[in-house]
Amino acid sequence: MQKSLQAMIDSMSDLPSMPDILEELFRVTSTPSCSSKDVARVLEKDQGLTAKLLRVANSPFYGLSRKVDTVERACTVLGLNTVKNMALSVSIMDVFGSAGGRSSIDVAEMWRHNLGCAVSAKAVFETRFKGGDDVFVGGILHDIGKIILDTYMQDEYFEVMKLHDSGVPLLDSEIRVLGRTHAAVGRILARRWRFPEKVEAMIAFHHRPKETKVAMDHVAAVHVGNEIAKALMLGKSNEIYVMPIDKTCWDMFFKNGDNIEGLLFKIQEEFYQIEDAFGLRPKNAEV
Amino acid sequence: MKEQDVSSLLPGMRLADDIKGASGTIILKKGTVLNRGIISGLVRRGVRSVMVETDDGSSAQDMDTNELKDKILEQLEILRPIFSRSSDLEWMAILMKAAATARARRS
Repeated sequence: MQKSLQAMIDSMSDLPSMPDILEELFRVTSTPSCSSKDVARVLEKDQGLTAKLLRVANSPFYGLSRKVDTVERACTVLGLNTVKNMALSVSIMDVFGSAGGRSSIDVAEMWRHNLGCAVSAKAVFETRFKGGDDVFVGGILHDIGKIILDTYMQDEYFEVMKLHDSGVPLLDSEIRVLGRTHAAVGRILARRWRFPEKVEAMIAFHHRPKETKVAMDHVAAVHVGNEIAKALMLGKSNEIYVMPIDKTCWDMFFKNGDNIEGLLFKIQEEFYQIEDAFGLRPKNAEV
Repeated sequence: MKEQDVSSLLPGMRLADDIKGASGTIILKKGTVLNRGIISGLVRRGVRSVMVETDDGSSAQDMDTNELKDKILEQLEILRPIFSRSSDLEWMAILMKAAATARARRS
């Protein structure tokens, strides 16, 4: 029998709480006078996080001509918003990185898919707009609901995956078994952790982009980027099929004659450049 | 020779001109035959287009182009089943072909 949304939230009461460092980071960066020094002071309290951040900042993906060796320097060179988003991505991957239940989800491959979606969504977004850092975070987090379901509702999600393996698309399988999708579950975390509104929208509406009331351009980029990552087989989303992209969203970014092949090639190259920095390259990979 | 977008370069193509960095120093010399590593480096550096030879009768390039076609067909075979729910839509068929090409160029 399907659980009510409240029962579902209750059964996830042992969801991890938001890491203190992110709480402090959101608070500091919401003040207008926030400086690189302020951000560095918060993030450098966590040496592990700092080391990972610097590895990502120095990856070829960001193309810095000189190595940055402090968070403050990274903020100056890349911008506060980029570093804040990077910290959010790295930190959440730490919290949920080793999660996972009894279903057939391969969590490492799932994070590779999330990273693939992030790189794709940012590249797609930047064909029309500037500053795709928020979209990148949306890509990293868009499927967080799947990881939560697989970890905190193991029996139910096992049934979902069984149904999906029999050929039913994943969203339909989730609705049949749970009465709601991973996107709705991801939104619960987004609200509980008080994610920025745009990020919540990208998590909640990446499969139904037209229903969002905020940040339609961001949501559309994650919607398109998600299917591009699957088409390029960057990681595994545990959805077998590349599903139809909403035509309005496609038309937002691709006009007749656009070099789509070139964009996909660029996305692929960027993905393989950055997966190392996130510690996600499979050990036996040739690339 | 012709100007070629970096995103559509293929291994085996030959540079028709030097490529210079921001400071004016030569990064790659005229005549360099491109490989995957060099093309990735150009993408990384943000180079948009380069001049490549077209009429040098380079058999390497012809061979690579034919080889690439075969690889694209291989990739299309891999992608077709996972596109089975969407490739009847015109724009999804475009995506499938572009993904097959991008994957073929890396394989």
